[in-house]
Amino acid sequence: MTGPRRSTLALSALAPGLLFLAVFFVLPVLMLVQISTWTFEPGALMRPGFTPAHYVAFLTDPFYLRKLALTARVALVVTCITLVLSLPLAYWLVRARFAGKGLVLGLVLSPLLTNFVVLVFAWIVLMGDNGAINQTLKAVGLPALKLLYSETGVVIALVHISIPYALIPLIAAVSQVGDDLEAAAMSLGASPWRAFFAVVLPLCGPGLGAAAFVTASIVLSGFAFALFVGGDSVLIVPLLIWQQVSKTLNWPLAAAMSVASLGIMLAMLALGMWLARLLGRRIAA
Amino acid sequence: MAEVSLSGVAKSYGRSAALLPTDLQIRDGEFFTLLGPSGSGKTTLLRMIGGFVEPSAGRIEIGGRDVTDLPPHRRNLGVVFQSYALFPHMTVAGNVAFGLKMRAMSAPERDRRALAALDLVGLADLAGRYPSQLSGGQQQRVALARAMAIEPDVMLLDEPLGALDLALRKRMQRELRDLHRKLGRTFIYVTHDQDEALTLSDRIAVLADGVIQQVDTPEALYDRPASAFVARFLGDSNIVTGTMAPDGFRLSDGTPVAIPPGRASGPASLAIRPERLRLATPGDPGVRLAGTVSALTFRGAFLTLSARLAGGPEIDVTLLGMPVRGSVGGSVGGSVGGSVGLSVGDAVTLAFDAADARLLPAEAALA
Amino acid sequence: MKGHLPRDPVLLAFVLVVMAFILAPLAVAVSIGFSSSPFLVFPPPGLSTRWIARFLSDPEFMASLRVSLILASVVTVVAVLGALMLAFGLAHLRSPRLKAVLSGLIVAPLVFPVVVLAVGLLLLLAEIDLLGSPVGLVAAHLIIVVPLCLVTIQAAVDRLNPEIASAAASLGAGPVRVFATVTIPQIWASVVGAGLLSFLFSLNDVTFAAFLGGPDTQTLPLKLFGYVRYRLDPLVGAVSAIFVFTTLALIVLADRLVGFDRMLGIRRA
Repeated sequence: MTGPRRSTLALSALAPGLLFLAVFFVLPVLMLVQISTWTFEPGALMRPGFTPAHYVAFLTDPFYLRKLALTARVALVVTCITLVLSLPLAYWLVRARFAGKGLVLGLVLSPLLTNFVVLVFAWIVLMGDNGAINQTLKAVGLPALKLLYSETGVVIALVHISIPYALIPLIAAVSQVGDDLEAAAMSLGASPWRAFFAVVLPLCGPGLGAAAFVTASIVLSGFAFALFVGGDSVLIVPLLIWQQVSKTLNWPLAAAMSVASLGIMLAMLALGMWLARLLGRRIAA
Repeated sequence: MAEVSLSGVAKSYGRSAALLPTDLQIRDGEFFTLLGPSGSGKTTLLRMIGGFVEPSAGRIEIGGRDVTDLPPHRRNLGVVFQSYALFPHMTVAGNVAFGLKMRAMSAPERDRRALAALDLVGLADLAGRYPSQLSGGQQQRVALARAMAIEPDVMLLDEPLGALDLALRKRMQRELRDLHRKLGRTFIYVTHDQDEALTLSDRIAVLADGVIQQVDTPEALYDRPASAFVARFLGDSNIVTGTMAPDGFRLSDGTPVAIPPGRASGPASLAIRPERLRLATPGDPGVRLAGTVSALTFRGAFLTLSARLAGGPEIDVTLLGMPVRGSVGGSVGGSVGGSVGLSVGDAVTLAFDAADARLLPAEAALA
Repeated sequence: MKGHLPRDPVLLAFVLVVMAFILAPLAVAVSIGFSSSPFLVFPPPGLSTRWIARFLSDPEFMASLRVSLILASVVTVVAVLGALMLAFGLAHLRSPRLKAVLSGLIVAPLVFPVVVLAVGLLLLLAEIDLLGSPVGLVAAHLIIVVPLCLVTIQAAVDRLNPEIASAAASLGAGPVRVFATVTIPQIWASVVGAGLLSFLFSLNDVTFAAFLGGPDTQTLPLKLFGYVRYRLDPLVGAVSAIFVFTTLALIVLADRLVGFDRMLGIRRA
């Protein structure tokens, strides 16, 4: 098929999808930015007119600043724990030889595909003051932990849901590291663990970055977990947004907070891409 | 010292045997090649010596030390992988110094030895580059330097030149031979390229289907192959089946060939290299074979005359130094044949010296 | 190989602990679903299907289940078809630059935190009066699911041997026909895998449903969201059990069809 006709065909196949994207993705994002500058009138929802009040409030009010710090802290902790737990698992899933690997993978990724209610319910059962975990601790003679309605509980729940999401880029990253590299390192005298840390880990850099990014995204979306597992005590940003939308109905503020979240994510993305470029200059594609 | 000794070493995966129980002695300082087609078990054997594959049975000793249960990082071997396996995130110098970092020594000492290794392969000025910035030949040399830097007892090389083009491969073969001479260490080399094996090795083990067919020097393997497989794998060979009778060898149709009886009676094969056959001259004292010309092929430096013998078998004869004369535009056979005065279909008598022929055990139908 | 890291006992122990952590909540929730106790007790004192029966006989829950299933089905079909069209369009673009830019744009929604997208869509749907309507919710799901399908399908298309399509073209097939009769059959396993992922995502979504839902779009997760806020009894466990078994069944199916390991890029030994 000749050039111009082929392009027309391609573009006409793309048009509906792109149009949909423009309306239901680009437009909402633009509206977010626009409405975040509108005024909030209790009772009337919002009134057009430029005011930076919401951003100012969000970024200077000590209450919000504390919640921002809380969110950042939770994101950092969840990311670190998730990466530490996921990388060895990803390595094992890629390198170990056993039958039924596909099935094991499916099982390990199943929380991704399971309803959040299942998980939240389980955490409530497990983490309550008289839940399964504390019962076991008491039986062994250890002090009870406050897990439910605490930051710790939310962190555990978020780590749990983040691991499958992190596994996907990590598995891809480990798969890219050739088998021979570890064998070469070992032939030169590195013990298996030394070979892992000296060769596999550095080469998984981009994968770790992607996993961290995805985990941060999950924390910034985890309002349901924060709500049920943290109660009103762990007010991370997504939960704040939910409150504004469902209770106070201060949509402009919710929009402002969303834009701020987005800003954080984009900053992380830029950071990640810059780091990747730094590493990529050394490593062949 | 660094001799390598294998006793009863075997490897099977489930039901299939990659390597049948094998004994092998590799002498200290020799350049020893494992040669065979893919699937012959040569790479498995090398990987077992390296510790990357666990033997299903048998014992491996290096320098008198039993290493069978030792993991690779405790065997002190220098390994050059087919893919080079250079660490992409380290510089050339970093790669070469890696093995040294695993051993206790000061940083200056480490740098000195790394640089010395790079010097040996002529890449000292590329120390700061990353592997992705190097050509295939350069990467290969870095892999060599990295393995040599730790001054291992034995060097293992797994088809290291496979990815290089012909000219580069020939040059690297020469460099490898020089390197081996300079270092004086035991080299164990794996390849499927018989030319390469003949060029590089002190001794060669020919493998097929998980079994060592023959271990010998290149000359001995070429002139005195122990089986039809070895005869065919190393260089071209004509193999003619027939029977060994008390009064001499006979082709399958009974035509006698004047080879003195050298084996017990029964089915046997006669192996004779194409370059050892010639057109019989009057009064030629050699053994004669009669046949008809079936093809004449121009091969550049020589001609190949294919003749069908009485009784069916076809053999090739290498005729050297025959200039091609004859009419331009004539058929290939015609112009080629013109120089030897023969064309397809002519009767021809070939001759060879009895000493150049090898009697081999009869083999099953050709693969 | 001796000392091979994948067989190291420390690593194995670590991996087992992590996998147990991943699966424990699911097991807990499911076991409570079969609890014989009227109260939320763990471990359950006995087994019974009363809660499952209770769930299956509740008209409101069943209604919400129906809503969820219909919604998920619509989303899946539209998403798969949409992603196939986009894959076709991208494959036939002449400028690789344009292809890269558009690919990035289509996949961009996956980079955004879902909550951010939900608020944005909230504002849009309110403006065009679709807030609370099923159409709005379908659109919201599609924004996430179409890129997801595209990524899965595109990965499979990229792995194909381009010469096969060229051969078909040389035999006289136009581009659409080549795509439909040559390309798609080769990647059908990924298409089904993408469809399954889409279905499960839509079925399990709570964020979009919570932000954008209304009386017409009471999906099951949304209903449960409301339920869990005020009542905690083994009923949720029963729902969990059904969900988990369905998900597992679909996972087994997907693995049979596509092979999860291959889908993630792990080369089979």
